[in-house]
Amino acid sequence: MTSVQKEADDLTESVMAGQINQSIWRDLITLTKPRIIMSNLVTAWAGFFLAVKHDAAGWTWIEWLLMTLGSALVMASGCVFNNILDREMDQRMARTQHRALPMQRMSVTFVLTYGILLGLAGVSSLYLVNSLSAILGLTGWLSYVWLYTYWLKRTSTLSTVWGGIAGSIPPVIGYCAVTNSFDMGALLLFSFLYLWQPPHFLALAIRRREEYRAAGFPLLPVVHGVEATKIQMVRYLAALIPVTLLFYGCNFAGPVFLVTSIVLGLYWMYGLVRGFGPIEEEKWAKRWFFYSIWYLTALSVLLMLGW
Amino acid sequence: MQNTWFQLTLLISVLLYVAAEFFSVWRVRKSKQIGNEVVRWDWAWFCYPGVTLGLLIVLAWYGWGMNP
Repeated sequence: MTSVQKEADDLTESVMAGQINQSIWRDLITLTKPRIIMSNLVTAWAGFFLAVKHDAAGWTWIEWLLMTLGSALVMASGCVFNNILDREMDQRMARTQHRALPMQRMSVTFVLTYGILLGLAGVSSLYLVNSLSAILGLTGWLSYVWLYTYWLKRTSTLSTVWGGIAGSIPPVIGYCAVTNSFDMGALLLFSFLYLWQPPHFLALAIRRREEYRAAGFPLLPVVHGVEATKIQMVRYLAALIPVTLLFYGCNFAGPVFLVTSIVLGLYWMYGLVRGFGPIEEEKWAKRWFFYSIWYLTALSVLLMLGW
Repeated sequence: MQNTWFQLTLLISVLLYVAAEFFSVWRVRKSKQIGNEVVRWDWAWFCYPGVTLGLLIVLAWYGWGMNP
């Protein structure tokens, strides 16, 4: 082998090693579902600053940082466990079959260790803020991993309803990180997120029902059809609208929030009710899925600002 | 002021709750009439009243407790 050939081979090897390293890092990040973490962090920040505005309680940026880090790590751990538990079902869905575990790019033991370490680091970080935040983080993790992913997601149409507990906890962690007590503000934040999730998630379930059917997930549109799902969406939204009014009534939000929540809530309701008419189902579900994200973001920002 | 707002919100909640229930029943009947897919009942239907009424009760209890 000439020295030129050897250099070329070494270069190829180092490029490949670099690509493999890059791929491992990408997989490690993807396993944590960063988009889910980011959207949940927005609600956690909303809870945190809602408590700051309402109570004028003492707080520090260190607490905010620990709360953010702890919540993100606990959620990341939950998502890693979700990847482990769903790996066989993920193989059957086009959207998920390229993930690290279905493609066997990583071993289950390695990913399990990664998930446990993330969880421990997250709960410890929350414990440094206060014990209530750590308990809430652990409750959220258990409800996501055990109640939703392990149990209900593969056995019942109720997965969306009870799985909502996990999604409702991040803003409560943010709030309790400041107040260190579970009071009306925490309850309102929990109720708001809890009732927001069924109409949000069921829109996605309608959109992707064939994929969920193929993977064997017994979601409401798969088991009981689109009509029944739309009815449930309307019912939960009808319960969500009054909860948003209470933020204003309890002095947690200002008039801008009140008016915005009524207008956006009623428009959402109008859109859902129109869904019973002649519509393109796919387009309709996509539109109101994204609207629900926009609705949550807008109201979360207004809560943070205290307007 | 806060109590009045609570009473008003709870009234709106109850009205919306009743309206949503009537709407559900009406849609189920209509979907049968026009030959759409048949809507069957399962636990998800009972979950909604449970969750909503539970939340209403807790909110009312907390709300009045805050400013009796």
